[in-house]
Amino acid sequence: MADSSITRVDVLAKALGKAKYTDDLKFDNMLYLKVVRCPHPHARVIGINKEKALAIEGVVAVLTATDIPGLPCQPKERPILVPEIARYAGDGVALVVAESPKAALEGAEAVRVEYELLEAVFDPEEALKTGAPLVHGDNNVAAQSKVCKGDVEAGFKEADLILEREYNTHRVEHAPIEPEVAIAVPTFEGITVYCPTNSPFQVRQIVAETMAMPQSQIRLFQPTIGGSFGSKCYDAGVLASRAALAAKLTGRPCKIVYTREESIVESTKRHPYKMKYKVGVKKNGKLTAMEVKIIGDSGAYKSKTPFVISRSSIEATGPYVVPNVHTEAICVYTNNVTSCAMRGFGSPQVAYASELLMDELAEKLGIDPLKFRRINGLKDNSLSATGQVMQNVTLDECLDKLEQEIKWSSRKAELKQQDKTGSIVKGLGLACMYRGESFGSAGQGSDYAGATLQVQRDGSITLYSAMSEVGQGGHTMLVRVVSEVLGIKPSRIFVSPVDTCYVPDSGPTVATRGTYVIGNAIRLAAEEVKAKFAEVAAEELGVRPEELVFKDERIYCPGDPSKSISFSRIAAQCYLKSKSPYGYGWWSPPVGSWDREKGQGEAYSSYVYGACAAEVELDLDLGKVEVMKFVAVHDVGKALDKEEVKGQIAGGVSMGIGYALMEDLVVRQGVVKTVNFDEYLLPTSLDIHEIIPVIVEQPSSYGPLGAKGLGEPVMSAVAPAILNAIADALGTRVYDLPANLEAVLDKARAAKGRCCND
Amino acid sequence: MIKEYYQPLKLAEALTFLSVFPGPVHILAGGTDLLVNMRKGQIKPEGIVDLSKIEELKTISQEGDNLSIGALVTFSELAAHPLVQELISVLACGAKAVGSPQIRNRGTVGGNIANASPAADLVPVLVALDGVAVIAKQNGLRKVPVAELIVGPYKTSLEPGEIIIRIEVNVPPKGTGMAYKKVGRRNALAISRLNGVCLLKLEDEIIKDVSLIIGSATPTPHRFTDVEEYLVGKNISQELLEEAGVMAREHVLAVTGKRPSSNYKLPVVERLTVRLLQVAWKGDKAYA
Ligand SMILES: Cc1cc2nc3c(=O)[nH]c(=O)nc-3n(C[C@H](O)[C@H](O)[C@H](O)COP(=O)(O)OP(=O)(O)OC[C@H]3O[C@@H](n4cnc5c(N)ncnc54)[C@H](O)[C@@H]3O)c2cc1C
Repeated sequence: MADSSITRVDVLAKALGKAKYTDDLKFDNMLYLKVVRCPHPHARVIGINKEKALAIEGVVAVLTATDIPGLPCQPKERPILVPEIARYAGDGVALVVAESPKAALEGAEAVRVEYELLEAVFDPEEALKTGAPLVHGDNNVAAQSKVCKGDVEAGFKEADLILEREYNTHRVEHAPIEPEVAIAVPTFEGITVYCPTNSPFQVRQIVAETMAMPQSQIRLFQPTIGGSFGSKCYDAGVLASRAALAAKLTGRPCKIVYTREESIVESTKRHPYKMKYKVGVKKNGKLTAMEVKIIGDSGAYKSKTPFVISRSSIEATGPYVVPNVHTEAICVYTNNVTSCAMRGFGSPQVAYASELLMDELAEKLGIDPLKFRRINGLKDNSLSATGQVMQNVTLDECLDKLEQEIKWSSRKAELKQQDKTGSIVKGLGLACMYRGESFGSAGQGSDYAGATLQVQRDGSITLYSAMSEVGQGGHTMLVRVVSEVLGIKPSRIFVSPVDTCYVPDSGPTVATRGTYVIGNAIRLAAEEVKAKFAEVAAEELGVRPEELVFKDERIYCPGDPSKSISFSRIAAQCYLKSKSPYGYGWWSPPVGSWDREKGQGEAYSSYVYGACAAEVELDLDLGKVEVMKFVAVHDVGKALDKEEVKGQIAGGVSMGIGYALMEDLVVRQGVVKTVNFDEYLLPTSLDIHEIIPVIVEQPSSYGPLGAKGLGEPVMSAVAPAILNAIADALGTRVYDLPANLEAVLDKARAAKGRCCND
Repeated sequence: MIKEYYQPLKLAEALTFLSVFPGPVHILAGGTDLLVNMRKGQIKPEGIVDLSKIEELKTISQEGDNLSIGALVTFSELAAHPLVQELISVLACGAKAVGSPQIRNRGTVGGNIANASPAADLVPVLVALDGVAVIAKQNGLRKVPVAELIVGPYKTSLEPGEIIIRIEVNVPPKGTGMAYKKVGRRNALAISRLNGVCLLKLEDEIIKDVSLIIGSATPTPHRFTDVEEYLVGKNISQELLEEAGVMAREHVLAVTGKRPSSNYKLPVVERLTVRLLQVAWKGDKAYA
């Protein structure tokens, strides 16, 4: 049953236009908000003159930080409204509340803010120098993380070849199709906030802190979400708090919705990294040592930076056995737009660098790049960079499938024969990835999930959790797990909307933890129901509970077909006999030991693996790259739904193509330049050619029904596979992202011996 | 604030409205540029005259050596029209290079000219075909070559009250080779980094006539007459095309001077020129 796909539980409402997004909601007497933002990257607010704005017809109030009853923010976090210092060109300074969106806009344009301009810093390396302008505290260090194993100097001595390389990855935008939005409705008891967020309890906490109200008095309701990719966590908290503040102070429902430009200017982005790698390798291909220095741009506030950088440092070597490792990662405050969580969360940057490095090493040693990965790849009982004994490693299985699917050797050989005298050349490249599931022991935050089931009198089921359906199919996954455990049809299971008043805290839907952690909580809840129902059924049937099987909507004794009763009958019996029809599950992943000083220990309780290959076609005259074919092999443990898995892979590959080739959030002197989709370029359907998803199923020891997470892994290896394919075609490498027209043309011309300035 | 929105069925009515409306008034064709500019607050019209219901501006017809294209013809209509496909396929290529299906269904030929973006995708084709814009005013008509109508980036010599009603282009003689290419950062919805069009008439391997434009490389699209003159009368060969490429690149450098984008654009201008000429010479399709 688990192999067949079921209809996604959210698909019909979305396809038919019946799903209600936050912007669709209307409340009587509703007011509209517009944010006044600081246009300067670093400035002190001297005065805010509201008079002109208040004189505009329809403007009800102009709110500033002094109106906040609670905290404007936690230390070093982005404030709801700036109390004194604006740290990036986009920080909110005032909030105009008006009867119409138009009046709010006019009001925002009429608010006069006087600033004292402060010296700003935009380059992370500059920001670390003594005397640099300070963004926070007495130095600009936002977070640091280390991983030290063995003795790298000794390792380099053993090496036959040492390679040093620098890689730069750029800043990109999440770009969910639905921009940020929130509506707050004041109630007699507190405030109800409607907000599309994938971290409902965290957003509720931020609102409670802003409003100095008990968390339980804030009710956060999650309407249909139009995508997140990590952007609707803290950013959503800021919007929800702004709406709540205005609602409480005016006593009326308040709506805040961003234009695309506002969203891009204000919201958080992926961390740009500069990565310096030094690696030693023996002639036989064995890695001996790796030294990695990462410097990341945290932007103006802390946000998830410490966790992102921690993951990057742990995964910096890639899925390879490196006996001696020294990784130092640091993230630095600047007056740029803030960096935060984004699909992959620190993995894609280091996967990019380490996979380009592996490819170049293989090339230098004359070893086939796929073979080179096998030589160094993690296997069962290998020691990871953090000294963890790895189990359930499926890198080799992934490489096997990749090799078969793309016919690696023969295709490589064919491409070697291609005529390279014309303007079109082809190349084939690969990349591997591994990734720790969920938050891990290194401390990405406490990792838990609660979930509840209620079986109704008719045997249909209501499922309660904080799993946020951001388009990834999370709700369908929960239904699948319950359906498997209780043997009932998915169509009889209803997923409750996320409402913090009713659903248990399942933690945020981030870090590829939805299936892994929340899936396990719902499994436990379903198992509790199963145990309770087995008792009731056993009594009815006159057998022992252990003898019973739950399947096809029935509970029966496999040995004796006459001993059988329908699931819904037992549900009714529970109510008749006053027995609980509820199940509750609470799950948290095993936590291993972790030595923070050295970055050694069991970083994550489980890992996922993948291997990808890209075939590209390059137009050497134009610098244009087409990814003609992309094969993505991922170990998903157990595909709870094959179509969902394929969809998730296709989405991740598309996003990775954008990351590799064209997406680029341009910021100059702290000001975002690419503020809409005419200039911030996402790939279109014409830029995506053949994507071949390949599924490996090696059951996980921890995931529900053996399943592993997939949302983030699918993005990690895409850019490096493409860049390695470009290198294969060109015979020379692009080291920095994105490999856009200019970068590729430059290398193509250099390779042909033409100077780029002639 | 928009005080009046007018959607006439006749050209004469539109012209009258334009001549009497007191405040700032703008013409709306497909609206794919106008509405973007309004949203950005770059223009604040008080009156709008919407031409989209004026059928007389939507026809495509052959008149002798000319093809006449109504200003309100959309990119989709242009690309699909049998006369265009039969006589001047390169026009269809230019039209198909624009934006996305949604934009092609709304955006018009007249709007592409009047907007005068240096990155416009159809305008270079019209200029390469020596297109002439027929412009109506309340009391008369005038004809101006498209190349002259566009006087600078986003600037035309259109006067208040004037409407482009159609464009007349030369139908190239039979056997003319044609090529068009757009270079964008992605394959749809891209602002051209460069585009180019080439028409080539050979007689016994001798170049009789050639029209060449690399668009999005200079502030206004214009025929590269220096390159064209060099080519005419010569025996076609790969070497000659390579020379033309170098000349085109020097042509652009002379017009624009060195700019940050030159590192990319200049070498591509050269290669694009060679490729357009090659396709026009040997290709069976107009797309380079
Ligand atoms: C998402 C998007 C993608 C795009 N992609 C491309 C692309 O790839 N290539 C490209 O070239 N363009 C592109 N454009 C720009 C635009 O679609 C074209 O310039 C189009 O031709 C404009 O035509 P329109 O009918 O929509 O003009 P409108 O927006 O209606 O008008 C544009 C301007 O011309 C004036 N005008 C219109 N018609 C006349 C007339 N008959 N007489 C006098 N003045 C007139 C208007 O007053 C206005 O100032 C894109 C636009 C968008 C929004």
